[in-house]
Amino acid sequence: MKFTIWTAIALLGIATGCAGPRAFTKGTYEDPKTIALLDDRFNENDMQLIAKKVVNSILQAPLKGEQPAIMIGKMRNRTTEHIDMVALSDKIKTALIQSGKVRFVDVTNRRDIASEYEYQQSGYVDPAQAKAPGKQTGSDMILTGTLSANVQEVGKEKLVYYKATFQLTDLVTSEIIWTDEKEIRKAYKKRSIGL
Amino acid sequence: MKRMLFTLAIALLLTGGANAQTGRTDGTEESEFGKGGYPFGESRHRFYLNTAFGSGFFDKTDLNNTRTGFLYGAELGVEMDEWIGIQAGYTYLSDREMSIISLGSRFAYVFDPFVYHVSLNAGLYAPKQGDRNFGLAPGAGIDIILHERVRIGLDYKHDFVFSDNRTTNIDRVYAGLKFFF
Repeated sequence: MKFTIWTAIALLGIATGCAGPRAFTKGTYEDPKTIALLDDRFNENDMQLIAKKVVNSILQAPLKGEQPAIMIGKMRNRTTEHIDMVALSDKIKTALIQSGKVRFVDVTNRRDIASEYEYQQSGYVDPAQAKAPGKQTGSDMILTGTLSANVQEVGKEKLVYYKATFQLTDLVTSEIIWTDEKEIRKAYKKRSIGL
Repeated sequence: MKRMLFTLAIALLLTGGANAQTGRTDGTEESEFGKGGYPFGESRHRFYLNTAFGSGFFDKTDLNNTRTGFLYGAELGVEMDEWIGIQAGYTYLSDREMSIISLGSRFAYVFDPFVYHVSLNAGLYAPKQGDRNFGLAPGAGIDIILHERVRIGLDYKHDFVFSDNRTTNIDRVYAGLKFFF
């Protein structure tokens, strides 16, 4: 009897264990600002925390003039991970523009804008409506940033540290008129995730 | 004993609904400290109630010259993590008029939609007539996840009941529903 029961349980286990390939299904929309650390890599929560610190710090800083114009400069990723620094600077830029305290000049689309000037001045466009170069806003400051990381891993313990440093540099004097940093440390414990 | 288990079940139901605090990134500066994990999946520290209906197979016959008996019971447990839990159980073998009160641990491996588990329980075996004895009951089983909070399962337990002169063996095979809170 015992042998029969154990055999039945073993066979049932083997049979159910041979189920088909596994896939991610039945997803749900979740609040992107809820903290979720599913793995040990840079994630959207890290980006949100960095952007929040930088935006709040810039908004509280005494900047030169009223609504100074800022251009986005180099955003350096000095970590070993692939991190979308454009997404990070876009998040900062969006929040700052929506605050109304600063303006941003479009650096990314300069080539397209210049090309459009040429087209509009070529005679195809109504001269009364054609846009021409010479009236763009000059940037007052350039925003640059650097993201670096450090990882400590011993046994089952792992610490991941990120430091994001941003600065605003005056384009006339090259003085750094504002800088701030956000430090993030995440602690992990290794656990088995499968057979 | 039944009243105590009922009280325990009510207490577990009342306390089991509390969710772990989850953090957000739009709070005050440094409010993220200590927050993490994965709040969208199954919550940890879940309480469960497992019902059991099946048969017990004895290694010796009773007065009616039968080796089997109907059993029913329930287990109350807490799952500290997906793979480990502790549980307390009450099982009644009606044909033998024997109560089994047990306490033990349960180890599981989830292979969605199946959950394989093994357990080890220590118990008090109390027949209506006769001496009460101590016993150990290793077991194994398979659950099928029907819903995030409901599973149906098939379990097997082998009881080693120790008395002064000999060890009695009981095989328990039962099915049941498991509810998570």
